[in-house]
Amino acid sequence: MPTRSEAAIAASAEAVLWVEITQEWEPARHRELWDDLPPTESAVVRYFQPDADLERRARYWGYEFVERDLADLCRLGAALARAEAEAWERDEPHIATRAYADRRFLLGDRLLHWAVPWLEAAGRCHPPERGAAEPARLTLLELGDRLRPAPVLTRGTEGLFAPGEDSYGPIETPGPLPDYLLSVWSGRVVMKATLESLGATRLVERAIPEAWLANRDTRDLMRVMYEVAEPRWLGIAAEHPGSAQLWRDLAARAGRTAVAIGSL
Amino acid sequence: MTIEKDLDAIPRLLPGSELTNYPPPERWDDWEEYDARAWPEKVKNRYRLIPTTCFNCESACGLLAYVNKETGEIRKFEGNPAHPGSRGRNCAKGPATINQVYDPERILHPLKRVGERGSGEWEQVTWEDALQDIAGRMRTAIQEDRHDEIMYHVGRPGEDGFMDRTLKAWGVDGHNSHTNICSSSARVGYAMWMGHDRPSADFANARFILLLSSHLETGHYFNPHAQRIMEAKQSGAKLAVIDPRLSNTAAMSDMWLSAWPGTEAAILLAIARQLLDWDAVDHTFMRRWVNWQQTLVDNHPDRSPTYESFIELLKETYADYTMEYAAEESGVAPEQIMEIATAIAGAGDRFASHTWRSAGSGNRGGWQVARCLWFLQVLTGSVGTKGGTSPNGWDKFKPAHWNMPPPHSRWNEMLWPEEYPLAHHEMSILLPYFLKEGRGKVDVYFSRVYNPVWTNPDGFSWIEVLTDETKVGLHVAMTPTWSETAQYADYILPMGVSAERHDTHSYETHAGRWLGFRQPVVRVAGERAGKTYERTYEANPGEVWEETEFWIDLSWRVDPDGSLGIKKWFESPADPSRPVSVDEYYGWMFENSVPGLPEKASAESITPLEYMRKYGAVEIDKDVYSVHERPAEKGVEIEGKTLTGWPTPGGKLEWWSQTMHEWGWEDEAIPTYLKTHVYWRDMDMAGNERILLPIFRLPTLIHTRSGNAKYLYEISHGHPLWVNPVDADALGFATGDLVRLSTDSGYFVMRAWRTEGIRPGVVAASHHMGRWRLQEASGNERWASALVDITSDGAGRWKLRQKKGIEPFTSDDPDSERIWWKDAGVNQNLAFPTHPDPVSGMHAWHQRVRLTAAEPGDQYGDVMVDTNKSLEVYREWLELTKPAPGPGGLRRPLWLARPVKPTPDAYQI
Repeated sequence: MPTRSEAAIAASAEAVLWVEITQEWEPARHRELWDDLPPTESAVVRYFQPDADLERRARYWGYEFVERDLADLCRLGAALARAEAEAWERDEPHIATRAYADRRFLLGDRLLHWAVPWLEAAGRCHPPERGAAEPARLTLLELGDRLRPAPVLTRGTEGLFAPGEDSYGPIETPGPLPDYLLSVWSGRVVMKATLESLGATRLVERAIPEAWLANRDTRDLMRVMYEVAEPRWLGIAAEHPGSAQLWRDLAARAGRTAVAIGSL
Repeated sequence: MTIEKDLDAIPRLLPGSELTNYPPPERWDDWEEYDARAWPEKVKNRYRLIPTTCFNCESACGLLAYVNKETGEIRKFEGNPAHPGSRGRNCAKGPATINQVYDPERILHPLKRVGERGSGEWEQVTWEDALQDIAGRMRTAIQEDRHDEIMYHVGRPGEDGFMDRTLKAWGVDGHNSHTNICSSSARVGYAMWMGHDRPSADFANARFILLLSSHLETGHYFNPHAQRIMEAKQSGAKLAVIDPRLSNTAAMSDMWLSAWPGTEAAILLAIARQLLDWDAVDHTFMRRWVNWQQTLVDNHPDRSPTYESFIELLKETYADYTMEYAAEESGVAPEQIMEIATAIAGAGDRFASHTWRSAGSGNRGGWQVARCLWFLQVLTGSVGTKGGTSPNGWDKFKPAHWNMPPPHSRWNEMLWPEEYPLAHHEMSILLPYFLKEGRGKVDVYFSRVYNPVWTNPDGFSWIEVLTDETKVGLHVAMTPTWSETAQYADYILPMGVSAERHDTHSYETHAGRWLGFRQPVVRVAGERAGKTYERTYEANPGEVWEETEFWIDLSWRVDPDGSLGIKKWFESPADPSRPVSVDEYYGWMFENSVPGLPEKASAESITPLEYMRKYGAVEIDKDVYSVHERPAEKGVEIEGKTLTGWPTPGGKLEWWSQTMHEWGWEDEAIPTYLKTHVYWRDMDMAGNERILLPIFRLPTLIHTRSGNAKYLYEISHGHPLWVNPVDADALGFATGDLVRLSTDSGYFVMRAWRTEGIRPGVVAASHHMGRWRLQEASGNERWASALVDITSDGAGRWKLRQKKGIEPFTSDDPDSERIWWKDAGVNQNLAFPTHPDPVSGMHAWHQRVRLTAAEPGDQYGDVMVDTNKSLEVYREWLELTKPAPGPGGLRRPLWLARPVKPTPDAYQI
């Protein structure tokens, strides 16, 4: 029996949030940011290629990715929200719940952890983009509070992650520090524009010159950058309980990175 | 932005577009997974994923075996997404294959009896010793022209054509099957209509689905059919089930009609009458494809030979089948029957139906249920249409076998007796009586994945003949598990389960054709790693073998010098001095007889055999519809064109069967309603008589073969007697009370379970329980069997009593000490006399039983039988037959199918 349930209404409303990001963040509208650091998980994380898991889920729905960028992933999120709404209306709970589960996975495992830090950095480093980046960042956090993919657990030691890992992955630095700092795993997103600002110079590519970390001044600037990131993420964690575990882990990572830079 | 505008920009998703969470085939040769048991350590294991097909029911779903590249052990079985029938999905029985492979109680080596038959004393022998001994006895029989004393009695074939070839090569008419306790009734019903003996419903595209008995869809083809029925339901189709019992499928249906057993045909004919009244008939189809001209000319010469006259004949014939009549007969409300008729009419040519066992196999005359059901397909023209129902022959692919021997000219009357000229398969259920009557003897009896002592009716009569060496000279049990029958063998030869053998098969899972390839996964994985094997038992656990190689090697030893003309059929085409290998055998098949396979293999730069080893299956075609309309060189003339038509004598669908008419069954030559032997009005319902429905299946068990599947017995381990509260109150039974059920040959004792899931007047017990063993630690798997005592007075009176139920035991598998279930069930079949239907030969399973409270001294699981009484019942039913010869002095109509079909001259009496 077709039903017009509260769940269907909520999913329809959620679809609007997703589609707003999609429409705003089509790649062609933000070429400057793409040239700096593309909004994709593989570029922002670097150490992890998210090919298989989301691909498999998308195949079930017949969804074909284009760029796997922010707009692309949010387009899938919108489609899943609409699929859930329609499934509730057709009285197909097995479809609706799967759409919900896959959307929660999309947000919590493939999107929030890199897109929020990226939007935060993009808005700060590229002021003309702030008007687009900040609403998108807040929308993603709101979606996190709705779908609650990463709430803080009671003690934080419940064994959700394997020893030596947190919600981002392995805690141990996976490579040389200059490379690690280019990953969100370090505790924040460092854009090319940030590096150019720090060094007061134009860079050919988004990379940390070898001399920087050997130089006390630039090293201190880098350390402070991570030190200030730590409380910022903790603040976001306090405001957004649905994704708080991510931000607490990112804060801890920023703190560890700051220590690592300081100990050079 | 408005919501509507935003939503318009969102792509529309298609849920279910593709199965997910399967490793992609390009990575099957080197797949990594973490070892879950190593948590929290992250330990990676590397696997080869080798496809095979399940052996745990008929439908041969695809499995993927995860073979550890380091240890060579199988870690688990999951679905094979490349299999067109099962599409990566499996029921519980598929993954449970891992239990069967690593069962600690498994028979790992050939065993030879050392004491009396049934004494449980065995010694391990080599394969060579067993082959030589068995082959020597067979050779002598063949040399002495006693070919018919060699009998191969198969339960679950699991292969398609190899044994037909082998028996032809031997010149032995010795193929015996389980079909007359299974499906021969429905087969006759379908075959008399269309030549093909079973249906293939296009469930996924149907608008309305009618299942008579849920059996197939809950137990047999459960997985491939159920997933397509669910697809149809998701697309808005309605499902109706006619079954006295609330089966799993009935519980999921839109309409459940709980009819009196054996009255289903009355319901179907009332629907047919209604369709005729409404003129909801596809006249174009009927006019082209039904044998109305033959019917009128040959059987109603007084009528005008026009189609309109035929329709009038139909209306007159079924005029008495009103809704009210059907309702009175069946106990189903007329409104419910009308609702079904309305749904069928509304579905048009997208009406799919199925019946296989229950209604057909439970009742005398049950074959007419299939005939009446197909009548509805024919009336609505939903035959061979998208969403309709096709014959199985269109959706089952039969590859050619290499170097096929010609048919023999023998006729084995122990299997095809004159009394049953129309029986669809061998009269296997009568073998004990024929042996007792001295109709013949069996010198070498292969029971192959078959367990008649436990499965067949009147199992004690089977024990009587199996323990008599003058009747059965040598009994060779070829089995992947212990079984009640293997306990009475001379040799037990351990045969592989689905991951340990080569077979091909194809089944009518949907409107398309595919071929599956079963293979020994450890051997295949080893060969990919560079190992070589002469025989599959070198790779399997212990010395577990496969039958393909066994029959080849046995045939060489039967005819070592080639003088019997047998060996030549089993010689390697490359080197006749050695036996043909499985690679040569199946390599030829895949290269030469599977359309499209060489091209698909070539596209991947591999051979067809490598393709099948890689994917485990190949899709041959899809969307197979209306094959009867295809032009053909030989076929039936329709409106000036030669079309494929139907494999019936006249090439058309036969509402009136001239064959039935000519062989003495004039009154049953058309779809009609026959009163069952358990007709409810003949029962003393006011007293303690009830109808026992003993043939429903537990979807998670597998007849004998689930005995060593601990996963499955942990799920299903209860054997209650279903009793409606109306009957329970009338007879004074509460749930858990011990009840004695008396049949015409004995009695058995079960516990009552009050449930609304069975109609009043009918009681029910699954046929999947009641396993037993005679020895503490052998004879049957302890996961599933009770330890029993069997006593006999030597004059036909037998008693089975359970000494203890299922208990934990110590073994290499720590799970065996964690067994928490106790109930092995009751082997009720022992107390069923044999009821061979006079037309189909099918054992009519339903029983007239008298229910009484257990008497003092009765225990749960007790079975008492007098085989003299069961012999009397067999003879009463034998009197119902109309023996051959038929027209032309034939033993059997030439056009009817039969296994290992001999030359036409063998049909002459």
